[in-house]
Amino acid sequence: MNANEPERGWFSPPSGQQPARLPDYGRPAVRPDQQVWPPVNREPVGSSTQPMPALPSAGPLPGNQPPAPPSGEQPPGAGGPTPPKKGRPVLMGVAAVAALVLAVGLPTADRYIFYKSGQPSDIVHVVSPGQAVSFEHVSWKAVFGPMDPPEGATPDPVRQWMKVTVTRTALDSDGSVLSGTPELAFKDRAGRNWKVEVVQDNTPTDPHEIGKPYTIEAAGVVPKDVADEVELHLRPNTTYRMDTPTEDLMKPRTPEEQEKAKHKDVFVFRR
Amino acid sequence: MTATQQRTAPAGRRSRARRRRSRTPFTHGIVGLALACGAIWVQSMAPSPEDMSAPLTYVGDKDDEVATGRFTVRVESVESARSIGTGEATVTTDQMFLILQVAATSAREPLKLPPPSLLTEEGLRFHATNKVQSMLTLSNKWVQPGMWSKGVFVFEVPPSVIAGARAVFPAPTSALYGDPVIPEAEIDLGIDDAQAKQLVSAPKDVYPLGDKR
Repeated sequence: MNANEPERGWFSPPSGQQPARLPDYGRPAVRPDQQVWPPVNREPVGSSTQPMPALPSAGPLPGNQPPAPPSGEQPPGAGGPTPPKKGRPVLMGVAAVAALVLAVGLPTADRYIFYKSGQPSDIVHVVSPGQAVSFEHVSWKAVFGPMDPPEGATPDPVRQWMKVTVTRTALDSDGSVLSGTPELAFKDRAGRNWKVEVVQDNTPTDPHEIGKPYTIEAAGVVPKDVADEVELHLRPNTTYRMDTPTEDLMKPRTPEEQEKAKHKDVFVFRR
Repeated sequence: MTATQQRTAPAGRRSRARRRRSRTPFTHGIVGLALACGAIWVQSMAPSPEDMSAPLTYVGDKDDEVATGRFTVRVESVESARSIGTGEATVTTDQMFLILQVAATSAREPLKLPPPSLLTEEGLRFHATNKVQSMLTLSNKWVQPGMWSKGVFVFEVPPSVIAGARAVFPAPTSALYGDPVIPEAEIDLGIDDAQAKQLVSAPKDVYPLGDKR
């Protein structure tokens, strides 16, 4: 830059020179007027997300109206306000009842199963009168009937003494050592039980002779009014063997033996 | 009028819905907390194990047939004695013997009644005496359905406690598969003050048991 040059602004062109023209872009196109404020497509009052205090006197706010129910069939308000969800209360009620039933039923069932594990249901075999029945290597026969009260018993018009004679016959070598005394009881139709006590057991302590009958004599007392209808229930002991060695008496039993030791089979003798 | 109703009804419904929506998080928390507190409070009212295993008591008076589910028992008389003749010996006491004549029958199964206990008005409990063998009492006899078995039970008690005393008869229990709720019969012996005085002042010298069946 020379010193003799007249002073000029840095943006002015040098003297004698035309200032460079800006490139000509042409006239700007005239755009149509457009309303920018207030916005043309503004949302209606009340649709704003801005929280606005509700004026109780102004009635319902416009906008966000729930879709009107199809009022073609039914005039609004004629049937009263119908609950919006009808199926839920029923479902809740059913679920509550089911939960209650389960809460009460499951422990009950559990206890019942435990109870039944110790007191299994009987397997009842009814024997026709005067007949013998063969079961687990032994043949059983029982006759019973009224008897006079023994001497010394307090006379009682209500009580009927009953005499029972059970005959057992070993059918094979297993039966001759299965010498357990059967459980005896009188029962009536209503399920009431009476004791039958063994008075005299004529079975030998040695192994029984195969095919020879031995008797067990027993007696019981039942009320006179049921003396004709009582049945004798005989539950044979099918697990006690007299030839079991002493050292085997405490031996743990297999599950099958334990199941058999429950002695579920009962023979019902009638007169 | 109708117009107003039509206008207010939807407003009420909507405001209810709005209220429900607005209280959802907070109120439900409170309700849940209250329910949890209620559940814990209800647990505090659960019966104790002793209460759960307590017997079901059937209450009656002397000379009544008090039926439990398993047995029926009746106290026929109450006597007092200074000593008991047991056949081979005479047992004595420095207190007094209270002798109950009892009849019992069973509902379904033959059973033997365990010895009862005597519950006094102050809540003291006395077992039946062991000075008299149970062979001589009703415990020794089979109690069977449809028939009444009769016998005695003997208590040895101080004379001061017998007024208003009750006898409690428990049901026999099986060792392993026992019923969770066993019954008992609680029988008011009907000893008022006058009768207590008479029982204390005039006991039998010897109450014979051994030869009486």
